[in-house]
Amino acid sequence: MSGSPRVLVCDDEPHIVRALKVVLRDAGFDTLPAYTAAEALDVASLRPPDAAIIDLVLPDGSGIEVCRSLRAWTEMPIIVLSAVGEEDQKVRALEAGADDYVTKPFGPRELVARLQAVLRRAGSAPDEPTITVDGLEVDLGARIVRRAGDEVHLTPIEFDLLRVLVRNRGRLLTHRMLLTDVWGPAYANDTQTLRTHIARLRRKLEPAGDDGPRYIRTDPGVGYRFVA
Amino acid sequence: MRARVSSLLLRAEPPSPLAGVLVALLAVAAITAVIFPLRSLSPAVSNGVLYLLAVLLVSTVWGLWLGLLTSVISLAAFNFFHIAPTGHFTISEGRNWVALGVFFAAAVVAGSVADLARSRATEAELRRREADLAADLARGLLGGLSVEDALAPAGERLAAALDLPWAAIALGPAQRNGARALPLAAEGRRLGTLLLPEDLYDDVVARFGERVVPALEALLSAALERDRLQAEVVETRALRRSDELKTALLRTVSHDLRSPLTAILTAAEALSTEGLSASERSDLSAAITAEAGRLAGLVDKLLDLSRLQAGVGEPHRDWCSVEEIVRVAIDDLGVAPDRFRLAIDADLPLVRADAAQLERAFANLLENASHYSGGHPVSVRARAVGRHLMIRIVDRGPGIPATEMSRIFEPFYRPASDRSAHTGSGLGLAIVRGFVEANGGRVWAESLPGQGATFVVALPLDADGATTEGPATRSAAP
Repeated sequence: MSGSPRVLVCDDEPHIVRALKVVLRDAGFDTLPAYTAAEALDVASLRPPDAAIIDLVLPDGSGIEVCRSLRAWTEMPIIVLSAVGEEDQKVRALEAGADDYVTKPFGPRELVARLQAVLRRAGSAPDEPTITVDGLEVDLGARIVRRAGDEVHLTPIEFDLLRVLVRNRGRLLTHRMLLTDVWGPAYANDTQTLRTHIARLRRKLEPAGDDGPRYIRTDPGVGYRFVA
Repeated sequence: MRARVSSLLLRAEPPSPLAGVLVALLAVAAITAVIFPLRSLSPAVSNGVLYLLAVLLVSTVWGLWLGLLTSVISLAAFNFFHIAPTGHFTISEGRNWVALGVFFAAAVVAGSVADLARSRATEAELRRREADLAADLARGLLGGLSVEDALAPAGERLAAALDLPWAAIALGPAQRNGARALPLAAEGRRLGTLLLPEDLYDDVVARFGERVVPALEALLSAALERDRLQAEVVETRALRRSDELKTALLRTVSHDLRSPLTAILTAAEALSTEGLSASERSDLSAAITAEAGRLAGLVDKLLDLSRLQAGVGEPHRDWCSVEEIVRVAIDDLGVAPDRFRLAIDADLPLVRADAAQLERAFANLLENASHYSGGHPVSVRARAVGRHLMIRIVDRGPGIPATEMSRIFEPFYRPASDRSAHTGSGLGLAIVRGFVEANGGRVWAESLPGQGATFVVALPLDADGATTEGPATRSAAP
């Protein structure tokens, strides 16, 4: 077994798979190619990969099903490939266990960057009590947040929301996932509540300016992600 | 010569007055004959009451004036035969003057009452017939037909009911030689015109204006409103359908254009990496060429379809050879020519069609067949059958399930049995049908699942190419 991380690439377009293989090799990855959902599951179970890139539309089924099957036994990062306008599909894929998605047509460099991001997150220690990102320090044990050394006061629900985002930083979390985690399953569709709290959290955490949010990014129609 | 209008609907034309006079005379004579023998049994003055029967009869049928005439005749007969001195029109006794006076007064009252009853009955009958006519016209105008189609039957119905030689209803202002035009309007808006024979009596026309026109106006207004609403429904439906098509188009563009684009972008990026082997390099550039070709093909199809849907695909017809068209289509496909086996009759007649459009249609059919044929050659047979040129394209693929047969020619339809998402755009067969039908032909599929599919194109051999009726369909023709 070579030292390079292995990536399962499943797409029914051989041209895409073959070209991705070259691009990934250049980025230091080995590619395990697959062209159907069944093949993807076979390949993954024979030689467990370090990450997977799966097209949402496969000849023998949906990429969502592949995500779900993989999630039954592995925590490896999964990126799904989708077309624009398929927000529902993206949300379903994320809820089925995908970590992120990339929209076709994508720049291969972007895909590689996303792949590296999800791998980094997966490799980081999951049990750290204090997380520091870009000048923001979140002490999960003491429930204290500091920005540039100054303590920021958060309500309990705001802290819980931040904790879920930070613990999954780099990963795109759907509205439903956040609502279920923080408020409970009964609130799974209450996106308005989520939007309000995200806005408050941003007011307290994000630096002032027009550069857009630095920490909490919006994925329109899908969800939010805390930058890695 | 005035048009005859005997219908009760417009005017109760009384029976002939001459007949009335005759009946009056006969009735008086009969009554006189009946009471003459009784004069010895009862006083003549009391028997005179019987003459009132004649007055009632005549008043009821012929009206008050003949009734009064009957009274006078009765009076004369009564005087002549029953009042002393009989046989003379003189009266000797003063009390007989009184009896005659009382009789005359009673006759006038009875006649008036009878006349009133008669006109009431006539009026009631008239209204009933008017109501019948209105209901009839309502059925015609508001029933299934569109207003335009319902106008002619309604005119005929009107003419029949009114016993006119003809009557017509036109939309908007209208005029006709030898016709009187009555405007039909509602809420200050001119809706149409009622045309009647010019030679009608003025009072008949006045009656029309009073009794028929208002009902007709209300009906016409309702019918036009209904037509307008129906047109709106149809338009809304068409819009919704065109919306659905646009949504499907977006989805196709979103998916089918993005896949080749992704392959091209990725392959281009891969080409710029280091350490590529020569075979990888040629593989990647071949991928770019192939995917770019796929994109171009899809763009062609989208253009074809939008041309067809915009209705600008008007064919430029000229005499052309189907064999030539099929060969060009095969060349253009860029598939190895041995994938197709041609069996085209020698001296096949020419068809009058748009060669470029048919070429697009056949290219799509052949591409489709070669895609599903699973490596087996596709056979193309063409021969003249009756007044049609029949081209049969036979593949040995999985065939088409009966449930999908009726839908395969719909744009963006992808068979559920074909799970490979990237094999077709779902546009090809819609384009085939569009172009074949634009050229007066028909296309349909025949298939037994598991035994391949045959697509049949029937092109008319008539010079004008106007035949739209295809030969008998042996399977689910779309």
